[in-house]
Amino acid sequence: MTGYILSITEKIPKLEEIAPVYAVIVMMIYPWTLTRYFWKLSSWILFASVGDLAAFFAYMVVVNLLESILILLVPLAMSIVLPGKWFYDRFKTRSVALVLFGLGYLIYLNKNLHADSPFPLTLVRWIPMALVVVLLLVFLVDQVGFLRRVLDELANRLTIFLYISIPVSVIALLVVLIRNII
Amino acid sequence: MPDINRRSFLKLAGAATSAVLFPRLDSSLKQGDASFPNIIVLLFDAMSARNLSVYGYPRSTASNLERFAEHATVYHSHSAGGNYTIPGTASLLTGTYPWTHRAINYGGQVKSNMVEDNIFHALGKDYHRLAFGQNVWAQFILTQFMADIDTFLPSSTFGELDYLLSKYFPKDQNMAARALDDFVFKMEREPASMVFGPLHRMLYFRDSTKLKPKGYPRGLPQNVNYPLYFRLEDVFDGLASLLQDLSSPFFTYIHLFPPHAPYRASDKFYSKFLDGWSPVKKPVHRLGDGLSDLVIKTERRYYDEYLASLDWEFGRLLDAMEDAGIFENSYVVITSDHGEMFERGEKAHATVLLYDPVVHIPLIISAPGQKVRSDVYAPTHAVDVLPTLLQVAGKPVPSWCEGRLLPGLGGVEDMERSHFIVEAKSTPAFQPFKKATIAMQKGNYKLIYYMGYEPDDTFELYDLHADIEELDDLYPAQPAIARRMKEELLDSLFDSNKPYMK
Repeated sequence: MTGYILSITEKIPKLEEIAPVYAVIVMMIYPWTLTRYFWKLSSWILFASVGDLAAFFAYMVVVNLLESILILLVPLAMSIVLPGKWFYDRFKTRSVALVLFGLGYLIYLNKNLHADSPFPLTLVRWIPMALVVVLLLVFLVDQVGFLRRVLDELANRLTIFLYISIPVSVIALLVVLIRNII
Repeated sequence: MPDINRRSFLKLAGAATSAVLFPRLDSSLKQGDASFPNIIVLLFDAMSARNLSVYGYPRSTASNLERFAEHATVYHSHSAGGNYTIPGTASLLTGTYPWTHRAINYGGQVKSNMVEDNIFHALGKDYHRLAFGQNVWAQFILTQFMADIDTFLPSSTFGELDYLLSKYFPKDQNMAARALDDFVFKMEREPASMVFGPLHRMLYFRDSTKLKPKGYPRGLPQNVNYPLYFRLEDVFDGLASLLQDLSSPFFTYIHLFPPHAPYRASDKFYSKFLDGWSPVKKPVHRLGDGLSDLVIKTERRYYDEYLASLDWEFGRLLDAMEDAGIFENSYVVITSDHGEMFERGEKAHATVLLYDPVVHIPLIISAPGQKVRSDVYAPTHAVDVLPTLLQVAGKPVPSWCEGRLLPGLGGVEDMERSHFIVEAKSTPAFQPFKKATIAMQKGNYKLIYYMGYEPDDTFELYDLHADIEELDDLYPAQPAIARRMKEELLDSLFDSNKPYMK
């Protein structure tokens, strides 16, 4: 049992590798909602106070925080479950590719999920196939040195945004918790 | 073992829910002061008086309301505060005009320094105060008053399927509803949440396709902008159980979503009004949507059929309330927050027009033990409901209230009294009105002021007694009346704008 746990912990990537991946996730998820927040802002400012706007923002950021953690768990789980050579050894590159293609597909899905249109059932039925394609792309991209370097560089540069997003998310979480406890 | 059908099960579930939700009722209310009458406000969202047979509509849309009216006071010229849920509901619950409470925008709120100026607060703790806002926007207003509400039932109560999230945030329901249900997970356009949004929609879609729309040929009634389906019979069964379980004295504000669009008539009334009847043809208004006559006529028929379905269910509730003896010690108020219009190139109520169908709402009040019908023809307004209910509850009418006592319930008929209906959804709540439609009714006359619309501000004047269809604009022909009413309207508008002028 101890050996099994040890083998799992050994396959959890280092924080320096996780952080850039998380940064990419954050930079895709947060701005998506943030742009919609600013789109709604024009109607909110007709009646909402600054406190209301801050509370809307806090709820929104907490949802984004939970989403980003959930998405991060996917490459982490793959790193643990799959053989080391498949994912753990190239965690950063493959995770970034996975996140980019996976969330890219989610964006495409979202763009077609208008509530006032017929539900795109065909699109949903193709999700398993899309996931297979995403996984194939992840492994293919990793074979191209140039793309690998681009992804690594991109992820490293985005890490700086975690210095903003993490504190903001923690404050937002506290705000939502306090509002729901008191 | 006796057969338990779906309806029996729901009744049992309703009773069980009541027992769980309202544990305080057994202990506190049954020992309450029986000298206070119970008050039940039953509001049907978007119910126009003009489409109800109890108010003379040629289609038989409201036979049970007619039955109810036989033992009640019927107000024939009752106006809403605004033309959609937010201002209409806020005016009813605060007894103030929209330009005072400032809940004037889509998703808007009663201004923060007026939050205690509401009917729940004014009634006080002598009453057990229960609120149910099936319309999510009504819930936005009601949740502002949570400190004064003893039992709050979220929009999903008695629903068939819902994916609303605010109910999981009981301590911050107002903000959770506005931030999550009305933004992050709102059922419009693409989801604002990239990961949970599509998941939320897919699960909702999966579950909604499993719903059996049996009995509803046009689909189950639903709230289109929010993930909520319901069946009329379940809602009314639930209400019947709820009202029978409450102990005196109680005040309930029940804000039902139907007959708000989408109009989903039950099979009993589906296609009932394919009767060839046509309303008076009216010219398309320059500020209307320019919809074709065919679209408008069809929508009107769907609406009428939905009204009749709703009335049928109301009849069952009426029977249950009569059997339970609720009318003996209760004031029962039937009203709406705004009307619905099908004319002049416009349908429903998301309009800047304030013609009679969209502002003329029902008000029928049954007093405890009332045996005969009474009719009031003088103009009354939604802001009058609050002071009247406080009066019958033996409570003082607060100074902030802008309404008057209703004739027949402490007030007198006053044909010279003026009242106002305000549409200002594009005006910031913190600023003076620059773009709005304001209607003023005084006696039989109604002046409509279109302010801030291109090319110029315009006025229309109608004599509602002689021309209820508002076809003959008297503004040019009656300059004396027009001038007098215009001055009064502009003075009132100026006074309401004063606090917001720099």
